[in-house]
Amino acid sequence: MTRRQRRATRLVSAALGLALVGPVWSAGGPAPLRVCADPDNAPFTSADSREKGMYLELAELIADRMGTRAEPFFFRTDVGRRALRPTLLAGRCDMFIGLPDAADRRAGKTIVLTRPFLEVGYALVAPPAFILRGLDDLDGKTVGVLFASTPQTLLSVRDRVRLTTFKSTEAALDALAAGQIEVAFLWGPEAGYRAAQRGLLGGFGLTSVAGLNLRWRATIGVRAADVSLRDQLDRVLADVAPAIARLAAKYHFPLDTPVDLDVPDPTAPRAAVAAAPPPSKTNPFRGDPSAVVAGRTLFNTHCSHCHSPNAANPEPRTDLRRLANRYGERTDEVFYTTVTQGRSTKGMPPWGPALDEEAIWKIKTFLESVQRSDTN
Amino acid sequence: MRKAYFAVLVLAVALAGALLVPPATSAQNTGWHFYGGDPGNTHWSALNQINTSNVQKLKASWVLQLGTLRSQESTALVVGDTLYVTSSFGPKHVFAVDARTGELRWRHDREIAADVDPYGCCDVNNRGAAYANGKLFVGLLDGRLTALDAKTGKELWTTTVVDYKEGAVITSPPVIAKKNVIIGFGGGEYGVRGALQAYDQDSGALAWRTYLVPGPGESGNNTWKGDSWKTGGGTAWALGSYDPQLNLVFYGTSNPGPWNAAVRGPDKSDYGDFTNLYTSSSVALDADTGKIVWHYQSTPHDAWDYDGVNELLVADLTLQGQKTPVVLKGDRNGFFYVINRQTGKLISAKAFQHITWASGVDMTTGRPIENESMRPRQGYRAKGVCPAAIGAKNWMPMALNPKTGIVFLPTFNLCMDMEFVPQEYKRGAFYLGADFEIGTPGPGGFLGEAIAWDPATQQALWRNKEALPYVGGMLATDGGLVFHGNTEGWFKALDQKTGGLLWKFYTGSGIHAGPMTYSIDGKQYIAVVSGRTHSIPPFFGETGRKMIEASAEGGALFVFSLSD
Repeated sequence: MTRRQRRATRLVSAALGLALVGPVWSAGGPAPLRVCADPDNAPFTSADSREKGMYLELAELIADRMGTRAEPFFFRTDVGRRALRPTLLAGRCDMFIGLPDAADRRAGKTIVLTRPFLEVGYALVAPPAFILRGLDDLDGKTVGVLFASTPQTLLSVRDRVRLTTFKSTEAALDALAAGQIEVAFLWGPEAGYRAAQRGLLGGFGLTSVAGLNLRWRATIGVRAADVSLRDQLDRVLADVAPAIARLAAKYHFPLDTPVDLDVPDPTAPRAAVAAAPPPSKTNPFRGDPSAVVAGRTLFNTHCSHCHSPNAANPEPRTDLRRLANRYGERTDEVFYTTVTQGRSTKGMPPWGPALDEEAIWKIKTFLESVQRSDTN
Repeated sequence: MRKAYFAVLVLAVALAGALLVPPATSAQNTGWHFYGGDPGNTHWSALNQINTSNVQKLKASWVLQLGTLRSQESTALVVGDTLYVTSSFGPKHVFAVDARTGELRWRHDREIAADVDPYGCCDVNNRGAAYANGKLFVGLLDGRLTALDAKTGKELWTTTVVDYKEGAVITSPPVIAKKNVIIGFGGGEYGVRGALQAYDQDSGALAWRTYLVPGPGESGNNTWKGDSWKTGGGTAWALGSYDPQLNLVFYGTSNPGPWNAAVRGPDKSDYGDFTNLYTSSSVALDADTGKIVWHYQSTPHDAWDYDGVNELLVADLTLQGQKTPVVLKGDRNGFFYVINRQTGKLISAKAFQHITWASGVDMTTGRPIENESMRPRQGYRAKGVCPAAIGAKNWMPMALNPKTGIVFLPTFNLCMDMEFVPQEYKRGAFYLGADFEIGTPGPGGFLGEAIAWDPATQQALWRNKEALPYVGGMLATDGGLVFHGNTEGWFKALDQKTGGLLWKFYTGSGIHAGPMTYSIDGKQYIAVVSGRTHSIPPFFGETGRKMIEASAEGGALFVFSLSD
């Protein structure tokens, strides 16, 4: 940004009455990036300077890349509905890390979201001998859950599971260590962090799970008026992806491939499905101009929130214009497998149930029309 | 016929009143010794100096700054010639002032745990104090109960009732019953197990504790699935009532936790035995032992957050020629209940506001006749559910004229779409704080309504529409008047017979608290606190925005008398 552009931005900000709350990143100076943070929400954010939490460390990383420093604005968020209004929306901080991804990259009318930077979800904590293939494996077990959590909801309708309800992750883990429950079904990042603190990671393992309301992609939210900050964050997030994975590991977030609990047939474990060779597929619409048009519409409806409108994606990792470049003659096969089965470790959901074969190949036809060969 | 009915009723009330109510009247002065005017929470006063013929001359006499903003919900007390009032924030201040002039006698400044704010669902409010034998008893937001010397404001004792970090806060004054002071707490949303606890007025020692969700081995525990009773809610956070003759304490209980009914029983209207006792109920407890003598559950296996906490108003009605000891309740769920307070037997139940979740109450079983499509379930969004979760009536108190038997109710006209939220936010877990709207206007477009209701016939006499929700609590007087405020900040006097507006005064901030009245040196005063709710509007989306725009936050006690 040139000095003149900066000045113009400043003037616009002042005109909009934003000068006081300060979209600091555009002011050019070393004003800090203010991060909304709960002071007591380890392992995400904490006022304890010895262990600030994954999200606060991420904020520092981002701020460093942006040539400034991160400054936490601490505010307790016990009541969800009161977490955003008095913080981000009141202009007391500029970004709220850890909002769920949304198709339109918005949270309500007032907040815009970055692209997802991490997947977080529930996990089972159990002795290593316990292998989870599906929910049925919990039948007959004494399972600890937290009050009003998704696992409580999910298991409450399964009569063969003996539910024990706790009000904190710590209490559930202590009961697990004491043998009062056989499995704890908890929020993964907190379970990993607290289990590590208790020295339980040797005797117990964590298994991540996927399914409705069990796993989300985390984004960063900023005020809708600050869309330029969002765009800037998107670029920085792409750059720091490896560091994000290291941070998640440092805080013992479970990073295993999740077991999909929506698998309808528990006798066909997911691993076996993945191991079976996918049927070899080729695009039946290749070169059909009407399929390009239809495919673009389908793409913009279903794919563009991660892969950008019209596939014009600035982030190499998810830029589908490089598919041919990357996979060569395997492209059709990789594309079909990835779309139908998903790639949960990378945030790609399975679209098999949502998109039929015709739609999938029309999308592929559109993508073929925008492939590029440059490698920069 | 009508006249005869009134005459009998007056006699009954006069007799009962003499026994029920400790003397609040001296030669010159008439006090207001209880939050609800009397132990039965009638919000009624026999004073009639201010009446339908002269209320136009009512003027503000003095104003007391309460020293806080946000959610003033207190009703003042007057004992002798001293007026006691609490501010919001837990309360931050307890004032004792000259009831004639507002001049300060003492002020007790209370330290409330600084981090308590997030644990209350619905703001840092306080509804006032209870008085007995020279002591003031105040429940503190951070889960404590304190006794103050009413003469000096000095602290006599303080005890911890509940750990506020469990999400349990105290917002309402306790009930006085003989030597005991009885108090509950909130937290149905946070997995608290509700209880009522009695303390000795002199020592602060715990006399008894009664859990409002029965544990294993206790009657009613089988109404809970699995171990869900441990976090079952059923808290008693609003006002209790007391009948000294029966020595019974009456409380309403909150919704069960969690909102998701599947955790607590079958996820359907045919819930069988899984009623989740004693949540969303009315309970009567022996004041000496805490034993539950009877209960009536208005919303079994609640899935709507239809708290049953609203006050049980003690009345003696003539029903089918019989003087009947009853409690009256304008329930969150939209039904007006008349219950025999000796036996707990349901006498009648009729909807007082537009409702869709049930078509009526089965008088044989006492259970609501549910509209199955209106019960939110896992993966099923019930649409057009009326009332909304805030209820057809909330904590704002109703008033009774015991001479006419007519009740005046502040009500809501709001509906909602509801399904079980997949994940209620908790620190440590993922943020999913979607701003879902739980308050859409009910039919007619108005959002609140003041209603005059005849419990004997279960019919409305008149209805006054209010543009915004959160209509203030009611006061009825023998001057033929009913007083209440509204969210815009108007304080109004209405004709009890017609609902006609006779007088109004603009206080500048929303009024939700119940007004009160007293007389000193032969002069009658009316008092009400003004200070709009702060935490509730964010629950209501567009409707909430209108509430915020309607008035600024505030914090003042306004006292009125007739101009000379």
